[in-house]
Amino acid sequence: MRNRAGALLMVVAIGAATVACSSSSTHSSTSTSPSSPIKVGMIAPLTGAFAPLGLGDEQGAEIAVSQLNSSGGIDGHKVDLIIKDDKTDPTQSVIDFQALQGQGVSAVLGSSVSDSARATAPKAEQAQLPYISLSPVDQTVNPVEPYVFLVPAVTTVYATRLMQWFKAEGITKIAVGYDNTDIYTINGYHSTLSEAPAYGVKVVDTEVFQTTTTDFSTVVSHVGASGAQAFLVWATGPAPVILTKTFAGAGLAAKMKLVMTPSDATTLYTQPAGSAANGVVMAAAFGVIAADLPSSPIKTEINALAAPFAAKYGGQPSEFAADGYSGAELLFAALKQAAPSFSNTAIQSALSHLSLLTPDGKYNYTSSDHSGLTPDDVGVVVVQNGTFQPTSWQKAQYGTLPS
Amino acid sequence: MSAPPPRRAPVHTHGPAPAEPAGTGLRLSPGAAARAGVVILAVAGSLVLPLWLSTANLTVYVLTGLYAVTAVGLSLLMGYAGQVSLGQAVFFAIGAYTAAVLSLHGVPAVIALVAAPVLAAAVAAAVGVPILRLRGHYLAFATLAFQLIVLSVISNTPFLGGGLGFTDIPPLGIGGAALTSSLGYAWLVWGVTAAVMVLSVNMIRSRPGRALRALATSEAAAESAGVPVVRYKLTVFAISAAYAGFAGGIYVFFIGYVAPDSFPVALSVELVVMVVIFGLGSVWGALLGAVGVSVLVQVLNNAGTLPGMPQYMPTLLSYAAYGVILVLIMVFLPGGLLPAFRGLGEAVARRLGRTDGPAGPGRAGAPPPAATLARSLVSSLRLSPVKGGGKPPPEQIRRQ
Repeated sequence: MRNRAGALLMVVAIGAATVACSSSSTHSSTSTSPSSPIKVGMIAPLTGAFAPLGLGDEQGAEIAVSQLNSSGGIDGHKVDLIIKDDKTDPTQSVIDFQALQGQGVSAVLGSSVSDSARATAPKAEQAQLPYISLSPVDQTVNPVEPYVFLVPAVTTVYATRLMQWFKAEGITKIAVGYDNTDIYTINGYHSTLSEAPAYGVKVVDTEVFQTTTTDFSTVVSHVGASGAQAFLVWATGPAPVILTKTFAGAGLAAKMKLVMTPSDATTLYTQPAGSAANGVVMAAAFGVIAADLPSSPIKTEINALAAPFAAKYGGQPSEFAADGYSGAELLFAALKQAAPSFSNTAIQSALSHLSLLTPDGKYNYTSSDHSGLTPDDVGVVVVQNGTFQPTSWQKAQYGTLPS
Repeated sequence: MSAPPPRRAPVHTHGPAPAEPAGTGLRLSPGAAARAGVVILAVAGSLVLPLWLSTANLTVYVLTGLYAVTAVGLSLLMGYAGQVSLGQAVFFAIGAYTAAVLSLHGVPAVIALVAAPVLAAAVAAAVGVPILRLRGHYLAFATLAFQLIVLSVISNTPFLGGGLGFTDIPPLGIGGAALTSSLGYAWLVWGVTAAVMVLSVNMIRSRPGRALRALATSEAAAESAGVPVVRYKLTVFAISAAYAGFAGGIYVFFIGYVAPDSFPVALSVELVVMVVIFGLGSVWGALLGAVGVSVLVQVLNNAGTLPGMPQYMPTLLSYAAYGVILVLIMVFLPGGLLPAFRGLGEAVARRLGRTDGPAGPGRAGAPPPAATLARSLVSSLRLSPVKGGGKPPPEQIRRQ
């Protein structure tokens, strides 16, 4: 009786599964008849640990889509953005990618979760479906895979920009701290080591911690005794906030500069860190200092996102919103060039020769560079009372703003 | 787990039908024939179904099979041997890493896959010696801690890919033939699921199976009756780890990527939910739980991102709705869904005038171990016990 009921239920459950799942993934062909919408997929961590990132990705992309559609779309076609939640889980991201593929999307804006990007990008390459990754993982585009492109800059770009600043400030000895459980921060550490010698910078101390570390007193005391002039920290989430407070509490702020990377150039960092973050120097997209920028093409681009963002969601767009928006703009520019075929190969070919100015900077994708950004696309800013201000060195660099 | 003793001994309530119709010989009784028919139908259905599934649903189908294999193993451990594991995903991870590392070092994929359950079982056997001496919540937390320790060690070991993990894992294949299609994986995985089911059901019906159920009820009583308690607990722990390890090995070839974050504690918890939701102490329940939970998660996930859904919807559905569904089942059907459905089925059968043999004493309505587990977990969180919980004194956990 038990087995029979069990087996019967299994059949029913599997049947229900089929109905439930298939109802939400209707197949359609990629060919586009006149005025039929172009389907574009997006995978974002809408739930799970990275939900704040996913929300930004979604908001940015939706603004780009509504701007495009209200200006007539692409070659007469509107764009239909299909968003999937990867739950901050690489396995779910693969399922989402295949579901989007089944729905006949022309390209996919990939998840900002690094594990998701690592798991999904090879699937996109296999499927030869253009994949624009919103996750800052250098390995996504190194080595270059024909169908995979990157929106955030690779960590060497950030490291190089900070080295330029170190050199200008006469800083020759730095301590480096990094989270050894995160791809972005691990890459950041290695980029720091590889870029430092060319700028006469010596790494005198290395501190390792985890995403979940909550006690930084040992780290801070090591760094304080290391003789470094700056402490460069590759970290994201709550850890850098706690580190900043410990650093300020130990009075090190008077002795050396605390330097962070774009993953902390967000109110998710500045608000909890409070006054302890005053004077913290960061590499960041120009979007965070938009108000201070002189009139320039990049400022126009940033405002094209910031104004509708403030109207629709309130406040400033986060870096994730800027990534979502920039990724969508890159894709739309490629779709415009690929029109009227919109085939995977046409979109891929357009992307690999694309030059486009977005709020994230000037992208120059080539067949050998699927990252496209340079150190000039990154600003060096300083935190003051919860806001981001350009460093004086950065102000002097306004002549090289991306355009 | 050695939690409060159920009112009626599960030895009688949760085994196979206590009395198989006598003198069946080669001729099957109508009940057994129908049962065999339904099982054949289920097997045929699960083999034919993938032909109609889209790629994404096929992936869900493959993963569901892998979770089912793992859940069936966990069900042996929790439902029959009464030992709780809140870290079962660690053996899935060990299997995945074994297969990944070996195949990346040039070991043929099939051998790497076979090594996955072997190493997972070996690790379980080694770790089981100290931690299976713990009971109840202590054991649960020890398994949880073990998972966290292993994941942390992997993150810090460059040889195991560190936090970066591995991509570009070679496909599963023999010689020149490689398994690359999802359809192939679907058949492989559900074939494995069927084999694991057969193995498990036979194990439960065997003499060691009865001994296991006896030790779940009372270790002291089982030991005094001559059951080698420690050896049996260790064996079933290793078997459950082997199932998980094998599933993990297939997973890594199928997904092609492995990193510590692929196996969060949440996966372990989800496996426990799969085992408990249809009723602890039934491998069919574990299978149904794996299917049910996987489908529920995907349906809620899809629903949350349907066009026109507000931005809070994914959060609402994947946390609130999912949580509320699980809580409601545990509160109102503490024995799980299977006994509830069975009761319903029997009521319908009675209404239709069909009698399928008497509902043996304790067949329906006895508080199964799921209720016991839920109650003791709830009481450990210092919440009031679920309905009908009576007094589940935590002191009894230490009873000898």
